Amino acid sequence: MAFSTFNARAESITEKPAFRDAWRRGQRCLVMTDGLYEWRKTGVADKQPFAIGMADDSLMTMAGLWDEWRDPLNGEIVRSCTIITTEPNDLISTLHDRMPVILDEADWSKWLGEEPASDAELKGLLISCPADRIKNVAGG
Amino acid sequence: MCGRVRLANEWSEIRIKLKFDPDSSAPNIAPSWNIPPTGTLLTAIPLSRRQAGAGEDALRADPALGEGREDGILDLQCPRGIDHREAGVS
Repeated sequence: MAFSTFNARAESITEKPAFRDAWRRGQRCLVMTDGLYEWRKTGVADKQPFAIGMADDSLMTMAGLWDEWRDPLNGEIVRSCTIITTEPNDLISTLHDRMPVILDEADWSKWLGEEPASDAELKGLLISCPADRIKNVAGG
Repeated sequence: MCGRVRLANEWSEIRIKLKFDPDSSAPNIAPSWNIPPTGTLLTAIPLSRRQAGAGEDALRADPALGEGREDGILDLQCPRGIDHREAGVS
């Protein structure tokens, strides 16, 4: 069975055909949201949503890759991006087995290529943020 | 990751924090609790990198990029758009 690849796994981002060219070209971006939500099963048929935000109510800024490609249906240039995911921290691990890479503001310039960084340094940024940097917005 | 929350923050604050063009206008992203994986989200890409574009030019782009960053709204899709079935559940 094949799976859609909407998010990019940090562990394989330099190898997967879907992402390795964008990585090699340094097409890194930031993706900003107020947060994310996950569903947790509470019963056979029941699921409960959990909204996750930053502990200090700041923007949740995720690491992403972007690219341009030609839509084979109409020939138009499409710009798109993917969010990079990694192993979950202690808070998210109760909800899901993956979480987005949430970058600290101090690392934004490095991630965007505005400051020099080696491949190893960039990959070193692709880790889960400390659990105390995020919170369950719903109050859990 | 099942969902993301769209921006409800003040654009003027976001613009300063992300070093976007001070004259840039607010993107048309209505606050929402749910967007699909193929939806759109606000992104930040260094201007010179965007202008270089993807492809050969991007490979030659100077890594010492300019100060400005471009805001944009990008579809959340597989970057190449052709390998949706490559592998991996994220």
